[in-house]
Amino acid sequence: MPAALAALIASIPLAYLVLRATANGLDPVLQVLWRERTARLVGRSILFAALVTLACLVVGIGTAWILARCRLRGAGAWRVLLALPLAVPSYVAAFSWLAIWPQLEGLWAAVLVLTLTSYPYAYLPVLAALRSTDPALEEVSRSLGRGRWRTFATVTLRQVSPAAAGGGLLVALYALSDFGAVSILRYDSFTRVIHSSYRAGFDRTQAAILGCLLVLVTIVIVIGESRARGHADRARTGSGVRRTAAPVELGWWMPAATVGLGGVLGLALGVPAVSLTWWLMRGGSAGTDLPSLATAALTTLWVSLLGAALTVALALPVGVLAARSRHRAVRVIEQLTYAGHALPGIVVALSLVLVGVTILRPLYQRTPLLVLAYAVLFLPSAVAAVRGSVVLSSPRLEEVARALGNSPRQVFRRVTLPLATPGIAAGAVLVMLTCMKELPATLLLRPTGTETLATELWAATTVGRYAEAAPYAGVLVLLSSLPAALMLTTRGDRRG
Amino acid sequence: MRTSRPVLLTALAVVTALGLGACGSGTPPASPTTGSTPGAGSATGAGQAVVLYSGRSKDLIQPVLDAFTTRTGITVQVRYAGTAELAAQLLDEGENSPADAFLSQDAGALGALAAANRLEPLPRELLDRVDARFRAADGSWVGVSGRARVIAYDPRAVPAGRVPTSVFQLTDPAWKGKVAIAPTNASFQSFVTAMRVISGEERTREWLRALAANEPVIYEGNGEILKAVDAGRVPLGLINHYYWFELAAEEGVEVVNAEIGWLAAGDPGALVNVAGIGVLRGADGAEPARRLVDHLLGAEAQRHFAEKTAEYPLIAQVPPSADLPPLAQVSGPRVDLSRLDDLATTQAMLADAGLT
Amino acid sequence: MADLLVEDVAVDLDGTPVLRGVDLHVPSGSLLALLGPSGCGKTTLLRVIAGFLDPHRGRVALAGNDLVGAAGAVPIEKRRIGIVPQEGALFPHLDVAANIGFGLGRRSRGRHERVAELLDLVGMAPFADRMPAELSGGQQQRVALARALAPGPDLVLLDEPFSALDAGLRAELREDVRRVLHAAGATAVLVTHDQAEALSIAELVAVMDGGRIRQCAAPVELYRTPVDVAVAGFVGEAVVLAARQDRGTVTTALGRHPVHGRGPVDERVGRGPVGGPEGGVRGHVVLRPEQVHLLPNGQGVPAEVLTSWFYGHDALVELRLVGDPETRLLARCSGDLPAPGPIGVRVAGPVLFQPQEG
Repeated sequence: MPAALAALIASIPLAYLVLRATANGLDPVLQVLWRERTARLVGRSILFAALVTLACLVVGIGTAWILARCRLRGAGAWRVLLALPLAVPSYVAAFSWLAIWPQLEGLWAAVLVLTLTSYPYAYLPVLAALRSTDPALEEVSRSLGRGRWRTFATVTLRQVSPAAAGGGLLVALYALSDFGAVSILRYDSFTRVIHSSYRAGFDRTQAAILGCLLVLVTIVIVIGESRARGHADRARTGSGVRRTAAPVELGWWMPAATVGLGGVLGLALGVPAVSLTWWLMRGGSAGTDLPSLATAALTTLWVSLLGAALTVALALPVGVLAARSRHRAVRVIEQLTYAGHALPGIVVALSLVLVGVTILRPLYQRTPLLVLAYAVLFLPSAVAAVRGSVVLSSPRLEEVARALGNSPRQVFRRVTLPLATPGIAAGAVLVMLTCMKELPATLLLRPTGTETLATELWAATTVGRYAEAAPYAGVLVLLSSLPAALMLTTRGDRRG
Repeated sequence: MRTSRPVLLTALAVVTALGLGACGSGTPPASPTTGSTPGAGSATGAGQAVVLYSGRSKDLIQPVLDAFTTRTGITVQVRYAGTAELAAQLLDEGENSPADAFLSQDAGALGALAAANRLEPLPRELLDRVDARFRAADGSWVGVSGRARVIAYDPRAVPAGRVPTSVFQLTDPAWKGKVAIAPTNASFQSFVTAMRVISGEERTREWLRALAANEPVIYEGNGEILKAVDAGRVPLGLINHYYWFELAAEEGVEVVNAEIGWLAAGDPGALVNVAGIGVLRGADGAEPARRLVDHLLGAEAQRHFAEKTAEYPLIAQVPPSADLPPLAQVSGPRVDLSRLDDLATTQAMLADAGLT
Repeated sequence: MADLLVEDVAVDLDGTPVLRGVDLHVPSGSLLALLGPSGCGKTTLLRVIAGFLDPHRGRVALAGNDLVGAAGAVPIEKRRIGIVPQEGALFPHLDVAANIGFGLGRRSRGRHERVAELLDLVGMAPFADRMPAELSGGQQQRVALARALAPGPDLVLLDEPFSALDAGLRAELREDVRRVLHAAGATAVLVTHDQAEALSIAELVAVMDGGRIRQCAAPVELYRTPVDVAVAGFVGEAVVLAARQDRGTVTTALGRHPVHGRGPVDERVGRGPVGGPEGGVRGHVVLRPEQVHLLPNGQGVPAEVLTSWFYGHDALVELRLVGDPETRLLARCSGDLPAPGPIGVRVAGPVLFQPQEG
């Protein structure tokens, strides 16, 4: 039961949290939960996550629609570029914004910065969905007299809503767990308190109790998303064959669309780029250690590639089951996998520290355990991608394949998997980009002495050496463009 | 759907294959392997290794470690991360920890580990090199460099003569909305803990309430406070002294606008905290780890702290940088730094006062 | 090729009975059309035979071997049944040749030849390396059929394969499918809601309604002697008239008619001059429009032409009896269309009588 295995792995942090939270009995638990401040923090975190999610959905769906459905010069390049902000760590983005606009702080600043680094969570799956849904429905809608915008709102949005909901969920959970943006832009949220429990109190119990509460919030959000998704089966009945959409002629809207895309890109990538360049130019710590930069880049590529591979492999059974079965147990397994995404990285990392030193001693502080941590953290991204793309392919095709003498295993390999590949690849890229910038788990679990771009970046920024940090951040973004470009350009009809 | 089980089997195969692949392919190129050290206590130390968890960042310590390796032949495998994260990791690792030594940015984290009985007492010879104020009473850890709490100020907003010399002046209505603090930062909490030890719980509680009522500007860390002061957004900020020197080194001393105000000796705000090191109980590399401690307390390393990181050296033979007033002059309250691990009560007070 | 036997198959979906005990026999090598209105359970029956759905009770056997029965169910992929779903459902990531070869072993000997053979059979040889998205609807269906036939299945199931096609293409493809199935010697079950399609293509037609098979017979027999009014109405146009049966003849507003010489009706009422209750039995007769002959005004039973529909080869005329304006008739005529107005009618040939229930 690999799905069960995935669920087991995903629940490691939960087991750890419960263990730590109740280590000193139940009294401290109640004490922490009963505080008025705790309730206020939950409220603030939820508000923050909701705003970020909404903003990411607007940006993500808007950009994806333009790039999937409109005729636009350089669409291929745009597609890749717009995925890259995911590689910008939220703390780097926050520092960059502060450098340019020092007064920036509070809720709206944090929402802005986090939106700009996490809208690709919505953009990538929606783009994949738009490119593999049949434009026929949209054409029917237009022919029935609905205008382009009403068609977009009533038909297109409905078609991509599973992908968008999945992406939105990831954004919401990521926003709940993010520490970089909220701490630097000074928005008092839940994760800040969890971190300060470790930082100032060495208080693992309080951190764990708050972590448990965060998991509860996550469960509510995940269940909410699953309700919203409903039972709608969005597979096109009948044929799996579709035509490609005729691109919308933007006409004189073209400049507006270009400015819009450029604006998003400029804010998300341009601002960090300008800040980094500025630091590089005037900073006293400039002067890059090229060998360590190269080593860190290779290491980053290697571990995040492994991370993406393992995460997708674990996500496949869960995502396929979630797409094809409505069994309660399947729902629970799927929702379990979301736990890791909403927890601050430090909590997930510590849970794997415990597993590492007790059960997997030979793997402790070696690459496999780090890769496992990535899988726990980012499983939901991959599960959502797999589910979203499997749902889109018709069960009818699988039946036909069965009738043609293929076992379910063969059907999965020969039909389900190839059809879902674009969506799954998008998921893999999403996971890989996120692994590349992951910090807390990497710090605790990487092999001793090994540095990734993110850890080097962190090491430089914690002591205020932004000029030294700049090349690492630049290489991080450049490297991220590789998988993104690979995934987003080698698509289209494969013949034979 | 009846298709599920074989689908699951396929995926299991994939997972297993990938898992094995991941295990088999091991670590990336150029990464040194972790492993146990041969326990031979040879005088040269060649072939020996120390696994060091360092909460102190690479820039601040790596050259000192490199010098150690050059001198002794003992390699140092360093895991850099945040002090608190590493402390939590060490506590969770327990006796299975691969670490031999823990270099901490502050005494509190070392105190927490000592309280959990995770540190092996150091030899007298090493402890005695450092003033008793800057090491554990039970000998479980020793300070290697010191830093003072200071007030960073914007000279355009506050003339040098008007800069407060005691933290108790900060609750004056004149400073309403004009003081930047980082109440979630360990350095601030350590200083408040020290104030509790010196001035008593009640006085501290009152001070925190008064401070909160004075609407301080809250930041996450010392670096952000200094930048805010430097940019003229806040007139005053409570920081560690060396942040100013870091900023001056990064941006150039001539463009740094903020200046440092030293607090009066004995003021709780003038707490001198240390970065320190402890050797883990039962560590395989305990012997080479103690030689590393010896190196850090040697004249060469101490001079590095004095000159390169603008910190206070802690052994008598090495004077601090000429830019700094002597340690005796700024020395704050006399507190057992080990007691600064009780930050839980301080946190509760900060929360009560509405500061976190 | 083999015969298909379905016995007492019942299926509940979400607590609603969809199949209520279906019996069916398709002889080896013949094509049976499963005809019925939407929701009658015909697609469900197809899915049970294919193995996509397990019945709650009943037995399905192919060539004498149980597919579903007391001993459990044979897995889908071991049933040797080919499927042609609605709209083809071609694998969009594979070209035409790969679609057809999908059910053949990857490296099996003669795979290439078999694919070429089927491409020829369905007339798609020039399109072997096209992707499904580049094919028309009819071409997709041909490929789907070839794909189903490629592994040499014992049985082919076709689920409304022509429903998405336009009329001309539909007739052409229908004929091709019949030819190909015959050439392959395949036993086949075709699900359709189009009676013309069912009658024209199949050797046997089974009419389904309400989760049961109402009648299974050869097309001509089914058309001439439907078991009841409902079946009659579903298989071709039907005229239903109130009637009374007495001593072997049936009387309606159009006069006296002989009744069909067989069918369940006869067993209940009795045949010939003796038997039957005193005063006759009330009921309905069913006749076909082509049994209603139009006569010049003044001859036969007086009627009035209301509307007519011209189809080219013939026409359908709607009439109302002068003596009984509530009764509407349909007549099929060839040649000139009658002008609206008075006309005479007469019924030719035997009619089907169904006594009133209760």
